[in-house]
Amino acid sequence: MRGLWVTPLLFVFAFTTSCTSYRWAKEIKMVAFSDDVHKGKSIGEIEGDDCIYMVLGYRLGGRPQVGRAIRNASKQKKSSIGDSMGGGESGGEGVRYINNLSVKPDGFNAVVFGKDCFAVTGLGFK
Amino acid sequence: MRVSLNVCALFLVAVFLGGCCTEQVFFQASAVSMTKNSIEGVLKEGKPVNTQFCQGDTPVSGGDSHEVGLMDEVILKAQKSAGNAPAIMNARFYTSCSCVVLKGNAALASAGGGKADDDSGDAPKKKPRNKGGKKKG
Repeated sequence: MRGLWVTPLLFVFAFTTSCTSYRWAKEIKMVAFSDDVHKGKSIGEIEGDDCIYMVLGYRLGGRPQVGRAIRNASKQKKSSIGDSMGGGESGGEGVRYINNLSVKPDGFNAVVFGKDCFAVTGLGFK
Repeated sequence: MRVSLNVCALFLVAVFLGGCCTEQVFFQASAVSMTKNSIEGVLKEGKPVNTQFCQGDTPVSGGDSHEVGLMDEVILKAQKSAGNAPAIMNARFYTSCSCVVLKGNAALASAGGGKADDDSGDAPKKKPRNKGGKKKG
């Protein structure tokens, strides 16, 4: 009989808590990598990510990092399997600032092989 | 019996102290803003800001969206707490439990410049509307 009270309460709890989902960055208007933030020339949409590869459930490296993904986006760099195994950050000259920056989790898990990423998109300006 | 209770209490205190959240920096940027796309003129460092936004807090941005950007919210909160500063300079983002902490300095736009641009650079500009909708003959 007591269970009759618990069940609707559980539904109410599940409903109220499932309403809000959290992301690292939804749409940040401006992220600048230089003190010079005057209006620049747009180079269009830029993408970058930070990924960790998995083999048979074992991660080849630590965890993907939001900060590294944003820095990679500023250099328009996609991570490779080499980065997962201790490759350093590289890339050419980056953008001065990014508009409308968003960070989304990305990747896949096909049991044998998997990829866990943070993907960053935005508008790059030089 | 009393000894085992004391041990239990000590264990709980140790777990509590050990479970304290530590701040770990995960991203740094020269400047961040949730209100301006770019800022003309020279930015100067103003007073330091130290703001945090946690999961479960009421979003500062409001709106009906059920998706909350933790970094978005902490930036906006910091800008508002600094008297609607155009940006936060020397921004350092930390994670602490389920919170994001932003430390930096409120930006002060210089007197000669500081004109902020709210449009993204490549956004198409709207044509001026012809009021009345009639051509002049």
